[in-house]
Amino acid sequence: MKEEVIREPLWKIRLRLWMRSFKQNWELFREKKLALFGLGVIIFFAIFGALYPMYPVLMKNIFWKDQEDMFSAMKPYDPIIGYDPFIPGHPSPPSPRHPLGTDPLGRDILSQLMYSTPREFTLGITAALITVVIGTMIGASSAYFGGVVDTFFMRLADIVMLFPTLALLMVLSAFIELDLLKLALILGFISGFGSITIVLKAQALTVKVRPFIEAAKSAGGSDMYIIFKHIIPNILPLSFLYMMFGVTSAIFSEAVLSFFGLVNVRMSWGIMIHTAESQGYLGGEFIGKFWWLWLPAGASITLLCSAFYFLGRGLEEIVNPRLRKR
Amino acid sequence: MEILSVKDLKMYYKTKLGYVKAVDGISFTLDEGESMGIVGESGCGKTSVSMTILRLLPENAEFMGGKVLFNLDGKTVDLVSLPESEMRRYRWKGISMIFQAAMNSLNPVYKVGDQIIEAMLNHNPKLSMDDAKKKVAELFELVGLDPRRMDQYPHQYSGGMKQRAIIAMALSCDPKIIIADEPTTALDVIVQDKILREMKKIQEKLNMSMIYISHDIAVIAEVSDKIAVMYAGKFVELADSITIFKKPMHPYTYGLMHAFPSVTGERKELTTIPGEPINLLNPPKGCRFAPRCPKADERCFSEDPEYVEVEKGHFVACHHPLEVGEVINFGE
Amino acid sequence: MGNEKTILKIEGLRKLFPAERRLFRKVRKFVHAVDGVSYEIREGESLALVGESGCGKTTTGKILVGLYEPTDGTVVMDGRDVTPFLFESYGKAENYIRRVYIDKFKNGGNGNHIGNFEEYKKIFKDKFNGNEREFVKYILKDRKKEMKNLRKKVQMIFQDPYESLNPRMTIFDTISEPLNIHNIGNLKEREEMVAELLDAVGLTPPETFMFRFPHELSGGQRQRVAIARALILKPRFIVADEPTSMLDVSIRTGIMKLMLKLADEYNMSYLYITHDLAVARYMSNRIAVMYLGKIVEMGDIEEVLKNPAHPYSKALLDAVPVPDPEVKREEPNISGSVAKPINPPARCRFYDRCPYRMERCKKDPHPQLREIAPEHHVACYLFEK
Repeated sequence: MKEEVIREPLWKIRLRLWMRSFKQNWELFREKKLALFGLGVIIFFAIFGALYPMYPVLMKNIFWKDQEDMFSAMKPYDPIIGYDPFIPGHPSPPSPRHPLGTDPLGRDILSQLMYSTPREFTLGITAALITVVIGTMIGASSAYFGGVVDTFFMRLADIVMLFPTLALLMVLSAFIELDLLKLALILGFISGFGSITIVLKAQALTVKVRPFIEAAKSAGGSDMYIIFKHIIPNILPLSFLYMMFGVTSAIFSEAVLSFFGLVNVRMSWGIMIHTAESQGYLGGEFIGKFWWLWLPAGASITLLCSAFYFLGRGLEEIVNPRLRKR
Repeated sequence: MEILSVKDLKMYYKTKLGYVKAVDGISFTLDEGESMGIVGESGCGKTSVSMTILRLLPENAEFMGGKVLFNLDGKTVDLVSLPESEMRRYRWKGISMIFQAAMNSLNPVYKVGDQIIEAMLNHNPKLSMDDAKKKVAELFELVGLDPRRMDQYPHQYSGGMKQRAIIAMALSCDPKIIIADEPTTALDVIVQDKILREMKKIQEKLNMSMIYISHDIAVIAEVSDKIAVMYAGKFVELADSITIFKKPMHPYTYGLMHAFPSVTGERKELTTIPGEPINLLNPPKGCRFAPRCPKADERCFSEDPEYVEVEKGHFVACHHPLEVGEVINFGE
Repeated sequence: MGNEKTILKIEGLRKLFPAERRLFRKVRKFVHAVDGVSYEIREGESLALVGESGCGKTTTGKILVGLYEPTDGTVVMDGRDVTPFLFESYGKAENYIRRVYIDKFKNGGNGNHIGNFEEYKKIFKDKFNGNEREFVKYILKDRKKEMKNLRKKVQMIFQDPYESLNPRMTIFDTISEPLNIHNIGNLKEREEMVAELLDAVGLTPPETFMFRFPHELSGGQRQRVAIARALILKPRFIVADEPTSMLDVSIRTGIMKLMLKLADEYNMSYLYITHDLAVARYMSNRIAVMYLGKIVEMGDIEEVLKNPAHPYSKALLDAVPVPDPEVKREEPNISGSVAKPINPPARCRFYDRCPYRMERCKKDPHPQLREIAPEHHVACYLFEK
């Protein structure tokens, strides 16, 4: 049979197969209301953050038409150095000029919120990505090789899990300037060697004993070939799921550190709350009176974190057929 | 005396895509002390038949009609229409079951004897502990286990011994009927042989009725008085075991008989039934074996063959039943 | 018969698994999974390896395809010792060469069962003047390549068709995987080879199967895919580990016939591992019955099934259910049950369960296989005078 059997290029077929499985999984995913909500929230925040550059322009055209010089001098919608001189006292409650009010230093809360959003995403996703890449590789190789490799990484995971990460970060912040990227790297590395390796190793062990691994071995596949071609693709869905949870924990950690003022970040949701706290607006009766200082940032942290978490839980049911209700 | 009579039993599983017709109009009768074998391939619904009789069904199972008449001490009840609380009395005491891969169903953290005692006390709370222990010891003797092993844990048992313990458990409430679903599938031949002999002996001794379910026609042939061949949710043929081997009338039965290699006699060519079993989800009209049958004609694809008694005790559902001695060729 | 070329010869193969885990101390308890097994397989022939679970039949097969390293013994393929290439590490391969060759060269041991023993001896003496290190280096110089070559020649078909295909790979990727590993052909040639094989194993038309995933195939179809994968490197020899035991009857015969047909077309030999004597009889010309790591009886399959000599083979044969309700079988004459062979005593492995055991069986070591009839070997003292 010399005629051509496959009439299309291979990549086209693969793309179609991929699209098909995506569609099938989407059907399953659509039934999970909470996960859809999570996805919706994530998309909302993504758009919200992307719109940031337009916000000052819009405000300028509405409220600052006659004071162009003043606008460019004071930059009233800059999240870090902005100041609105036309408001009698700061912090000011929400008003048409400042939809979410201003902070004690006279900066616009909404612009702070929008400015921080893409940075939260970057931090969360970078940290989670690093975690998952490390966790997957270590999980797969300690399952596959066993022995000394396994023992070493598992004990390391025990140590990392027992270690108070937050305390470590606090100490670290005294030595190095923790900017967003460094923080993402550190968070990613620490959790990458932690519990995720144990979970992914357990999964990889179930893959390792299946005969298709032996089939690949008897065909002459090298250790690396088997790990990358057979074991990792089969634990990748679980890794992806853990990435979602990783995003949640990274954003949380950043918020906590920022709140204590330990991170060298100019603006973030955590910093917003930190500002309110350090100026004394979170104490006693003030907490209710100056709600716009902490509520937008606090709500955003909660919402985005739970959104990734819900998304993860929804994916979990797709990844793990045993959880499917049928 | 007839002890169980199943009439036109139907049970479908409801799925998103439609009904899976796992049990689709099954009828048979079972006499006291008789043993029947149900043979069929995986997915043909043979396990679902036993689950329907015992009403141990998952949530998405829907009962679609038929009767299961069970005769206990001269009283006949329809198990299908009983309320669940009543049904519980008939399970284990009336009909008990040895599940597929049952040896893995022993709980590893309890002593084997205690697990059997618990099953007994569940169905007969008045039983005293001493009597229960005595009974378990008797049961152990009966199935060929050392009664001293009562106080051991499942991991101290070999595969064959676990299977014996499971049989003892099934016998613990003096059932009238035992349904054994693939009782020896995971066991080695020598152990399988011993277990089957044991079960046969016990059945004769206690005058019980048995329903064996298996994919292995050789196992079924050894232990059954009559054999039902099941294909795609229906019985296609039912007859006493000698008749069904001597003159099979359904082409599927014929194909099965000739698909098994044998260790004795001439080395014969084996039959291959072409194709694959049909999907029980929304099966097409007509005979379900028709797509794989060399004798199928238009009628077979449009009209469902009726399950009729062609001679006493020999039922078959086929438009073109085989003549005695007819040879059919399934092709390559 | 008997004149065909021997393509595979196994001599004294042993595999011990540690039966305990000890930290920093030497393991002392071993499961003797395969304990001194020897047989040969001739070209185009199929040898059935039969026994109950735990008898070591699968382990034997897995050693041949390089999934386990042998503890001891020699594997000769096409007259050439390939054992050094079954070891993962250089050190173990070196140990083997020292044990089997160099020690014997020096102390004058016998190695005539190995086809190239004399040749190696000459090389050792003349070319290297007895320089051990250089000699080992010479034999192992293309170790990686030899290992790959060996893998090409011997392939395996696994028992469970549901587990032996990677669920995330398409059928095309699965079958062409060995080509990928061995860097054979370009994409187009691979496509053609896969299509041809799919055709050969009865999955037609090939293009409808190529880009499906395993879960979209039935059990029988999957096993056909597994067979195609084993065939794509055109091996000389296939280890088939119960390839039909998980399949339904009506599908099973199709697979068995296919395997027989392919053996003929591709001129391959099988080591057919099974627990089912009837299947063994259908698939093979010769049979070896294994019990706890030892071959107890071996020979032409019709001869062995007609006149089983070893008490264990007899019991095994008697226990096979017969699909005929009119036949009443004898009860197999055997007592007890199989125990794990952890550091077993030297006497006959079957001693504890044997109905015919004698005083001699208790004291003497496990009996050797000896010929009791043409093409019929038994390891039992009942047949020794």
